[in-house]
Amino acid sequence: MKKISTLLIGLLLAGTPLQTYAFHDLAVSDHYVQDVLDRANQGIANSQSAASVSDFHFVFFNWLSQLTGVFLELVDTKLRIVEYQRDLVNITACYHYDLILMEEEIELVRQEILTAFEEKRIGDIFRLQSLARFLNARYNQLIRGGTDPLYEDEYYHWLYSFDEDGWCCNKSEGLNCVLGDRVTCLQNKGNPLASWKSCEAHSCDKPDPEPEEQIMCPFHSDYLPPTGAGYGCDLGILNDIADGGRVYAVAERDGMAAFIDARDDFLNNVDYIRDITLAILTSLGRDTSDIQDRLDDFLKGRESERTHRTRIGCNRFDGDVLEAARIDTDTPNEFPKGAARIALRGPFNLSKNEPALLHGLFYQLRAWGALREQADYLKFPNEYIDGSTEFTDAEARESILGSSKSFIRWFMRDYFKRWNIEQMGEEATAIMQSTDAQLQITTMLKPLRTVMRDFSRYASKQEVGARKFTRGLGWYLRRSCIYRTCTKQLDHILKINFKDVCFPYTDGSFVGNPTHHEMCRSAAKVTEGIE
Amino acid sequence: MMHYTPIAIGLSLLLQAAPVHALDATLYERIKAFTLQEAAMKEAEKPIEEFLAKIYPDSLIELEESDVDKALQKRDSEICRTEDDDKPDNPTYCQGYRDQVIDLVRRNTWLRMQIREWQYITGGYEIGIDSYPGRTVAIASRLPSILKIWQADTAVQMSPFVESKARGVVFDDPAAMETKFTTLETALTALDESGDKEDKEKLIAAVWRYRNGHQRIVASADCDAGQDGKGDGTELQFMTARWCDVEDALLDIYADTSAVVFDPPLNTGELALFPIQEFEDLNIYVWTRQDDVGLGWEVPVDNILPSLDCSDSYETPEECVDGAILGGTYPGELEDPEAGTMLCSHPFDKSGYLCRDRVSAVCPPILDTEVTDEQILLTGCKAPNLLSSQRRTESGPNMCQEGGWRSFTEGPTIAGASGPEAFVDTPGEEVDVDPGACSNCYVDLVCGCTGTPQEGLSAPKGYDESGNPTNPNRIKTCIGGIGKNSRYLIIHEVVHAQQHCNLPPGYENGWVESYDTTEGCCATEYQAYLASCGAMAEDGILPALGYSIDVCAAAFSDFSCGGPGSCSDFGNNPDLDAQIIYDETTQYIEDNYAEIGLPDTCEEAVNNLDPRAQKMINSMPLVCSPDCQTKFLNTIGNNLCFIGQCVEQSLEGHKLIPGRWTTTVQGENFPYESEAGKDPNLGAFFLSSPDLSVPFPPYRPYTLVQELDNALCQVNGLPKLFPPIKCAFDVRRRLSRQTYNLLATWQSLNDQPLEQQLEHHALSILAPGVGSRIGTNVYLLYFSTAVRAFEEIMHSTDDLLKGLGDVNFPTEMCERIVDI
Repeated sequence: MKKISTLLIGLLLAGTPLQTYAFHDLAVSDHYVQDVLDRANQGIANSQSAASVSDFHFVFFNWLSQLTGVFLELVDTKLRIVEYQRDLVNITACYHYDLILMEEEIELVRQEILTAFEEKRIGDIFRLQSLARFLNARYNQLIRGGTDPLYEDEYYHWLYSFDEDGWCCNKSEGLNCVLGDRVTCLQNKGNPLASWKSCEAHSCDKPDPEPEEQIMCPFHSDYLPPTGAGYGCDLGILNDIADGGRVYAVAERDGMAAFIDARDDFLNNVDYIRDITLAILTSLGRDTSDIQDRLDDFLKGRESERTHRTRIGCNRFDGDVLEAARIDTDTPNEFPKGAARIALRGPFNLSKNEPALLHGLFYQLRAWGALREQADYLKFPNEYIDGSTEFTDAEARESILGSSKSFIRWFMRDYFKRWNIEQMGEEATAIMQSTDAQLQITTMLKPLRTVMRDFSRYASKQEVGARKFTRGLGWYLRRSCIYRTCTKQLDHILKINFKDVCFPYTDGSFVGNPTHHEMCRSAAKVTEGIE
Repeated sequence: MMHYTPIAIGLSLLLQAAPVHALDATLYERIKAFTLQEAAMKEAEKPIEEFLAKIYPDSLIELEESDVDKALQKRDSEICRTEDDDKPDNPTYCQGYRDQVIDLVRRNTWLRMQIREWQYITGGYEIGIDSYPGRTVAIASRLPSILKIWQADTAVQMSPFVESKARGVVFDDPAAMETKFTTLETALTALDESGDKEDKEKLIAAVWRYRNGHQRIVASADCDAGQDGKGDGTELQFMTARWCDVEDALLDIYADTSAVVFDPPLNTGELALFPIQEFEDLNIYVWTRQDDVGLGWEVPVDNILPSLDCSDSYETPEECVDGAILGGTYPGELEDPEAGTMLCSHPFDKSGYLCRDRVSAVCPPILDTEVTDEQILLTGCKAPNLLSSQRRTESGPNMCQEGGWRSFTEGPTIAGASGPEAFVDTPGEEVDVDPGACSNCYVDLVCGCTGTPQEGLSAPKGYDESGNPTNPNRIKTCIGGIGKNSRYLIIHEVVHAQQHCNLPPGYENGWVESYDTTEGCCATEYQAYLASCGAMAEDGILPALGYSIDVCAAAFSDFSCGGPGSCSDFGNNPDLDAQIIYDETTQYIEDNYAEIGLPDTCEEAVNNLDPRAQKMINSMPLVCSPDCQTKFLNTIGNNLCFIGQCVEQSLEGHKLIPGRWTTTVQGENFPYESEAGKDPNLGAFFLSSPDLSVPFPPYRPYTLVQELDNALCQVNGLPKLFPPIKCAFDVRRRLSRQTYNLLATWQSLNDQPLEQQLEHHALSILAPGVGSRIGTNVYLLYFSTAVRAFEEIMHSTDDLLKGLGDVNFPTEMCERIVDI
């Protein structure tokens, strides 16, 4: 696999001119992948005009290594083979599609480098190498964060040599960092920086006011498996992708359409079961409210009753427009309700895809481990509620913290964080093997609880069920038995019937208590035997 | 460390390990010794010692077999002998050397321990039900009485399988046989290669090899002396190996038993069982039948573990390296034996689910049990070989209607006789017969009134074969006059009589509906042929031809309903053809009627009515009519027949609710009662009892192991490879593909182990987790059904208690003095 990838991405550089992969389809993720592709296309356009040199030898001693090296770097086993091979059968077609678009863009850059090499445009070669690394980094981010709404691409806004602009820091002119044309900046002997956050490190002032940059998260709910709630890579999205005419996209769409047709036919065929079930239960005098919801849910799966929903980036609400920058008091982001990260079965599993599910669980637990709270003495002030006593104390503590202690604290926080992650990972064993089984059984027993509760009530409460009947019958007979010998026995029965302590049958209070009947006897005041 | 671990996991799949155990002792002590030594890890089993010496990976040090136990016991000074140049004298190095040995033993032992545990578990469950007549623990001898208690007599007659027959016989010359058994015992004892340590691999394999007899093995090829006791060098080599001495001894015993002349001769398909011979010291017994001789385990605790040693094998396949068999190669599957042979030839086992299809009319596909090539479905349900339904009734289930389950009580009488005179059927016509108050019909068997002498015909009730009215209670049953198959024709036609007995007379009432479509015809005829084919099977005809009852019934139905292919559906089975089945059966009867004891003519068949047919005629009266007796053998099944028929008769014939007709009529007797109030019982009935059937869970260990291999290889970014050891981490990876500068190369080299460390850790957690989850799912599959059933019962209980509480008592007192 590795060798094949190498062959595809790297070594073909030395081969004959390749076909062009420049498709003009739109990515599923407009806010991230499409943005990356647009920026990369602009980067390619910006890398067409460097001056040609007459001879390479002054610049590249080993030009083949220099050119192929950047692509060999991309042959990252973990990213392209390990992660992707496993994902191959587990992620959705929409996710695949965007990843393929990114790969095609990398291929485009590779071809551009070849052209630049043939035309001896050294400056463009460097720019395109930077672009290739940028694309690979975004590819990595997409794999890591495509299905995680909490994952942030921190370096997305950094500007590189293939970009037209940069944060220009020109000390000689005493300027603040300003966003401007990269070439002009260089011509003025300035230094175009990737981010305004590094201005101070280069002895320039940060721009004032600081620019508001969008928090960029690669997440897109269309990458998730389709669910009844409306999220995920469903037929509508696959239709859009298939419009591009790619064979595999059309095949995916047709497959999904056939599957949905078959499923909807089935659901339409069993539609009548809902009414029949309710009719039977109603005629039997059963409460139907609980099952009614379940029956409704079951039939709601039909495509005609499903509305597509989208959640993108780090948004807290549905919609296809990115929210404005978050402030601290905003509610935190969370995984959209009703969406699923891993399909229960997936396209290649009839039974539950346990390996994929548990693999996901393991990493989810580790992610939660990273979010565990630190000990109080290691916390930053902003980890407390603003204005609280703890916040004030922490700020006071912070103000007297020297650099060495600060370093130690950083070290210890990092140490404990890693420890927390490891610990949660280890806990996965117990959760998978014991807690999970327990939970499944508990869930399964849920419907039994209602009937057992009713049973307990009818068997032991005075105003309903057996005791009410006994009371009614006893009193009826008692009135009918005046001055007869049965009176005494009926009195006994009624006295006992009126005392709750005599009916411990479903609360278990008699367990381990061999004299429980004495409590009943004394409460009901039936000390003498029944004759 | 991290890149060793995948190798180690791979090895644990590759290398099959075994525990050590001590002296022969009682069964309990033996199992205990296994377990103790597996846990204590102080000694390695002999095959593991030999294996480790061959595969020990450290090329600098030579590992000797005797070093393995020393390593386990941490006798470092003895392992690392300073005077020996080959051995390390550095204590640290020595410890690593020793730990490596311990680790390898542990992994091998773990695997062998698992395999043995499976054997214990299966053995523990099956010892009570896997049996051969005559053994200490044998259900076989108790089974007939258990079956008898449960079965209804109709089930015996109408079920599509035939009980196997067996006969117990003794040896002609027990003393001579004793010598032969001793020879066999000696041959078996010679396979025990135990020395200081136990090594019974070949003995164990030989017992399993001949467990189901030696005849088919011997017939496949002569025992090659060059391959005697040797395998083909694969893990499964002893599953197909041969032991010539053992075979010779078995053949010697067979030479005597096969020559025995039985009196009376054995029927077709009947087995003769000789006494078993036990070799108590070996925990082995020898079973002997007239057609085969084989071995068996008294208590099956030993099993064939995957072979580790190929130094003595007659072939050297790819996985055989330096005399050691490297695992993880997934040897090809062993072929299944032919139907009815080997395991399925035993008298008890042949009725088990592995050996026969469960034919059932209601045969829905079992959910979640789609079987792929990689899965094993233990059993399933086979629908009858019919294109359409197999039974059609006029109203309700008509329980136990076809077939016979009763003894004679009231029968028809001669009409017009001065006193009660029992009707005795003759081959002629009897019209003046009174069926009696207990029955709606009587059967009149008449010979020679059909179109052809080979056929039978049951006319509609009250009419003769030409459509002319006759006694309205008479079912005229015509049987061909000269056929040798009269016995079966009668059984067949009596089933038709049973189908129509309780219907009103005439063609319009049920008879036409049964035959106006091919589907109706097939459903009606199939039941009748099930009875006659069942009788043919019982008489040895079908077993001799190799056809099952339901195949026979389906094929014969074709000829009553339009010709081959009208009813039967044999799929694409080239061995089944309705015409051939029909012809062969007819010819067999023609050729062998005397041996079978079939009557020559119809007259003879009617005058000496087959008891099965008589029982069916006995079963025609209604069971729940007042003043009518019903007599039957007291079995659970027969009682159920009685209760079921009685309930049906009540629902169909009695007026259960005032003002309403019976269930089947669904009319209204008294129109004015339509104004009556709501049925007070509405909502008071319970749900029917819950269905407790559960699907078999998919059993797919092979797929799971493959998934694990796959995951293992993915950690290193490789596709699935065999053996999994090939997926080991390759340290030269980055060196062979350098990046654009040395710094990046160095960084990549540095990061290499981290890449897989986490994934690898995840995998080690994941594997038992997946197993646990799948186990939980299997448990839930069964448990959830029970919970649903329990919930339903509790719901009904709640309804009862609630209803009790809702009773309103009158406010008036009972009258103390009542005038009557």
